[in-house]
Amino acid sequence: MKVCRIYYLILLCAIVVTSCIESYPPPIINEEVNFLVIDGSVNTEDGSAQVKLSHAIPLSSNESFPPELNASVRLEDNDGNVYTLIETTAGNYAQSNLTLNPTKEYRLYVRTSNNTEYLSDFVTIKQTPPIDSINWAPSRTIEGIDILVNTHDDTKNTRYYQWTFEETFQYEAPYYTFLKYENGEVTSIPNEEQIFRCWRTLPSQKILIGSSEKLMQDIIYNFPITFIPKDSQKKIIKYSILVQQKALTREAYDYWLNLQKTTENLGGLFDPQPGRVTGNIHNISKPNAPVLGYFDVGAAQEKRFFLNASDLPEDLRNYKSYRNCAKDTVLVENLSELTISDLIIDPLYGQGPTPYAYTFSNLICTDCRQQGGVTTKPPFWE
Amino acid sequence: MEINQGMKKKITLLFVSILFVLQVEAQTKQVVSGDFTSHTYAQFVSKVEAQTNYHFYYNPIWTDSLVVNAHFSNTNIAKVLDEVFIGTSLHYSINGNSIYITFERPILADLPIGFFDANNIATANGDSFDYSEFEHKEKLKKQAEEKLYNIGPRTNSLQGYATLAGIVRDIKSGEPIIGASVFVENPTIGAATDQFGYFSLTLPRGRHEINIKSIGMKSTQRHVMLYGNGKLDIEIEEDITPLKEVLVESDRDARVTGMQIGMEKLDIRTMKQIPLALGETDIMKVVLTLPGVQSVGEGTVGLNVRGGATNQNLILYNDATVYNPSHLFGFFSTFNPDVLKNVELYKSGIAAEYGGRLSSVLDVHSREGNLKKIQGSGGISPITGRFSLEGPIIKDRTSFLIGARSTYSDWILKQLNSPELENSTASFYDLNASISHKIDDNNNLYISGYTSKDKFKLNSDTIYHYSDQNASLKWKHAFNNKLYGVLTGTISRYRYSVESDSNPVDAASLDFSIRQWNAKADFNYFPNSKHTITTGASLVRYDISPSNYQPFGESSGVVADRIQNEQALESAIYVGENFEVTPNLSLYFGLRYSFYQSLGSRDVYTYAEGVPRQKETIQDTIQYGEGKTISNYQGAEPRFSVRYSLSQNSSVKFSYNLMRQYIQMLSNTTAIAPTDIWKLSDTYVRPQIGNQYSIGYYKNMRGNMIETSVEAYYKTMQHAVDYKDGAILLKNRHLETEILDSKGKAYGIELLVKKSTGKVNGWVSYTYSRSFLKTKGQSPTETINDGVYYPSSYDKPHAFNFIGNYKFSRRFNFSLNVVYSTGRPITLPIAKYELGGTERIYYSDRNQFRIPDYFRTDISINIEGNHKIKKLAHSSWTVAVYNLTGRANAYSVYFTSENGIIKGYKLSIFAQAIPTITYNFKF
Repeated sequence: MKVCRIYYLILLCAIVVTSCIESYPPPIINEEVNFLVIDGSVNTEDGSAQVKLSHAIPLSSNESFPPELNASVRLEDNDGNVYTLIETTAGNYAQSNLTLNPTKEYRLYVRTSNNTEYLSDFVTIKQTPPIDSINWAPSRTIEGIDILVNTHDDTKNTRYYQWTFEETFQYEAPYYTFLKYENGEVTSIPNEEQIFRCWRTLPSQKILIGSSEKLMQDIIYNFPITFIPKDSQKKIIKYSILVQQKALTREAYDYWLNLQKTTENLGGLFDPQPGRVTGNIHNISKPNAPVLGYFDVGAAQEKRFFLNASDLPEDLRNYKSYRNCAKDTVLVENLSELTISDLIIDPLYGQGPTPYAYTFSNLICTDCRQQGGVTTKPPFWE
Repeated sequence: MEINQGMKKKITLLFVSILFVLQVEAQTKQVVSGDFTSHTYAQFVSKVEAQTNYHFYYNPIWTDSLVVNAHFSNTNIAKVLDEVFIGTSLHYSINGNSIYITFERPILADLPIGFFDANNIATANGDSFDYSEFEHKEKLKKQAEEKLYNIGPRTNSLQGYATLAGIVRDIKSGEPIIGASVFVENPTIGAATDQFGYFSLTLPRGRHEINIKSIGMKSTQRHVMLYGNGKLDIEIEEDITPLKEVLVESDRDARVTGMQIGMEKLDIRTMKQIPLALGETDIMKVVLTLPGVQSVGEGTVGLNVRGGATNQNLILYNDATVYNPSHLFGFFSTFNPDVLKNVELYKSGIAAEYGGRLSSVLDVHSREGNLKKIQGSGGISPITGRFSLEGPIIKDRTSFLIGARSTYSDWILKQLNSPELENSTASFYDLNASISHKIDDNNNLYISGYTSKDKFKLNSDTIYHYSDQNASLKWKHAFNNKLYGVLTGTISRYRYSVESDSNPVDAASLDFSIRQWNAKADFNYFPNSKHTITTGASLVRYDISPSNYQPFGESSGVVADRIQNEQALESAIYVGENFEVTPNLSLYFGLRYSFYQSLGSRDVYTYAEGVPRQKETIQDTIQYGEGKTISNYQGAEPRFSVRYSLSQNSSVKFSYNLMRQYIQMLSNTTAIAPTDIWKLSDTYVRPQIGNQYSIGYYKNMRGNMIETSVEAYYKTMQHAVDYKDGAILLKNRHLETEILDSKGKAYGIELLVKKSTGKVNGWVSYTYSRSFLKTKGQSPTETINDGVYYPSSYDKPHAFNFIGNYKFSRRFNFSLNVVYSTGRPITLPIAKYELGGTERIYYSDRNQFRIPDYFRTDISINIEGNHKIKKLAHSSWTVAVYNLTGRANAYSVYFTSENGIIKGYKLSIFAQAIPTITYNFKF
């Protein structure tokens, strides 16, 4: 595959300097990369602890990440109290209703089934200030809108922030259908089974961290947490985002920043040389052996934001497009020829009271679930 | 009485009148008495004029260095003048009460034999009588070549040696010619002119034929009768043969017979033939075609010479250090081709006068400006426009040269009307100006200045500005034929500023600046034909402002943060001696001793012993007051080379040199980035030390038409700079926690075949080279790749270059350029894992993989305008295609997490063939 695009580099100018980006296969390796990945977090708000243990796989592999089963996972505080986590599903270890003391420091201990021991550094608990506001603004560089977060900490103790989000949007299938052809019969679809209107929820994928260390005040002003292109399906009708904010320690911030630099912000002319990112978990017997992942303790603050497409200015709106959704017609006597991926849209009436034919279209044009959403309205939807 | 500008005309008229008043001569002879010890010529003249009725007519330029030392009592004027002018090139003619002083050519008071005899045409041998301006140029040249120049006071004894010195100049512009060979064949004694065009030859007294050969100039010779020490300035003519020879004989000989090893010299005319990407001759890109020189990718001017880092090259522009030789982060070099004269790259065998960088010296010289007439040139390419003007301020004495270059890419960006470009700007300009002034025969003054500014913004809210400025002042004084000295003062300044205002609350600007003052004195001494001695001293003061972070705009809440300045003093003394033991064996010994002091005022952190240096292990802060020495380093830097001629056209050479470097550029990006900073050596960052051994075999074939050479080298480096993974270099108060001390080694072999003349000329080179680093600290965080040698980012084992020119006719020239090299090493991910629902990657050991190999072909056609001599302007067109095959050469390969999935990409910069057309003019 070759996705060469004409890309005006700096001066590029009249000569149309074309920079070209092609896909590149992963390198072939013959070394063992089966490193343990520890993704652990403790929520001090509700006293829950979640640890996911898995293994790395070669870059070229298409398999899923193998979980680490039957490990012994413990949470320890600096007074020697120990809380054991229980494996809930394969590789996932959890405990809830822990009574945690925000003035204490916590660390994670893991012993795998082959008796390798891992221990994290002690982590201090930082209080997270609430999100002040979430808003949107037209993007300055590419057509579309940025979703922006604002927060502050009057005590100036937070300084390092991390966000994750879950965005949900409402959308509709190109054609509304209220009939279905089933068992040789055309029947109407009950309201609760409608497949025209959907909601889709997506998690954040990128590392979103910010810092106010350079500022006099501990303020985060209009931090862009996501970008919605002008022609995105997300803002055809209504969009909502639930943002979670978490205070980070300086060490955690550095870890995520390095991970961001070496796995996301690449492809420029002046990229730093990528390298290994070391977290706060170590192999006790072999201190040089790589251990991937991070252990973090803290409480998140949440805020939800809604955006109606009708609130956007005309030039930023995206109207429903029917793309390649062609309607076709099928005579009643030929209904049995419809395949499983064809759905009826409308009946066509001739002289008689019963339709002589139906219009139909492909599933993708009639069933909104084909695009990843669900027809159940989320409870928070306004 | 003096004759100045109008003199030539007057003299011309005089010739006519002289012919008819010959008999007047000697009618009114008068005598001169008195003591004329240590008189200037002007004093002498006024004294004689006071005593007698004579009036002198002369040009003061010829006589200002003349000192009269004589005593006369009632001496005949002719005898007086004979004695005064002995050993000079001055001649006199007495006509009544007027005495005409001429330079080099006497006015003959007698008509040549047979002047009135139509059957017996006078033949010009030795002294001819027609020296007027009407002389045809060719005739002039022929005469100069045929004439016998008498050097020194005439004597009968021709025992021992005498020194002949002078300056070789371009007859058209009066500019000195650098690197011209001035030699006699029997015995074989020769010298190359230095950067002032100066040569000094110590020869046995007697008659010699002096040969002069130089790049792009017609070869010529002078016959001299050497009685004693004397001066002979030589003007030579540009070789306008359409072949535009890449290198002429002088250099071809030099490769075999010269002392230099691992040195490449390029003339601007050679460089102008090589097809280039953006429509403009770019010396940095041409240098990249030479064996042993690499870069990490297109669009970067960082040179990696023989496995050295990009900061290990000393780039000099008219003796001033250049810190950033690029515009628009590397797409152009800062050197305006119109004002350049030549470029010398020293890869090994670096002489003792150079110091301060490990890998190479790139010595760039601008021209001095035409001494005879006003001249201009310029060019228009799709991206830049340039113009230069030069000419005499005082004819034959003072000249100026100014050059300007700018881009109109900004204007083009606006015309393109693309949303992506609306937010982009890119502009730069540079200005060069220089003046050279001949105070008198023994004193010359050179002033040169350079300034440039860049500004760009790449579809973002971040604006980059940078500017590079330097100036130099040079005074050259010749004490005598055997000794001259040069006093040089230079200032260099480089700074950049990054402004970001995307978010009004944290809008800020970040500035970096470095200033350098340099004073040095260099002496060249030519005691006899077997020895040349150079000696001198230099003093460099550095002042770096590593980071000045300031709020930008009214609403910015950023706290100003300025990192303390770094200061240092680097001083050095050196002596070098070139000794020609036998005609077959030459030796060079050089010793440089450098002394470095890192100076306050500055606060220095101390770290806990025995644990890795980290922010957390800072124990104390020591404050050093203004001018206090924080740390110092010193050491000898021996240099040695030897040349042994195996035959007339083959030789072997060996060299060793040790270099010390006290300033380093910090960059953890692969290519030189716009935000790289320079750092002085201090308590924790030790000076880099480099050793290089190199050996070469040189052979010329087919009458020096084909030159071949094989050079091999082995290098070691100590205290090279390496970085921890994810090092943060900007705005860092404790850089020593991010920098690692590493060792380097590099070796390679370079093969070159070059054909300099003929309809087809060019060169082919192949280099096999390796370059490694080893970083083994006390703890794992200070160790890279387990402390074993790993390939550096510029380790490209195989490199092949072909540069060829074919001259179809006087007006059409075709050039082809083929480049191949192994892809550079890169760190790639080897594993992926899941963290927080997103795929992340785990990297291999540093530089364990390579990007795909690099291959590129360029062509260009030069079309000269017609060759009519009387034209308003001479013009030429260059049509070039860069990357003819359109191969998408990888600049980098990277893997990134997109929507939670890892994807791999290859980025190419010039992924297509790029045609350009350039118009050049000259008037």
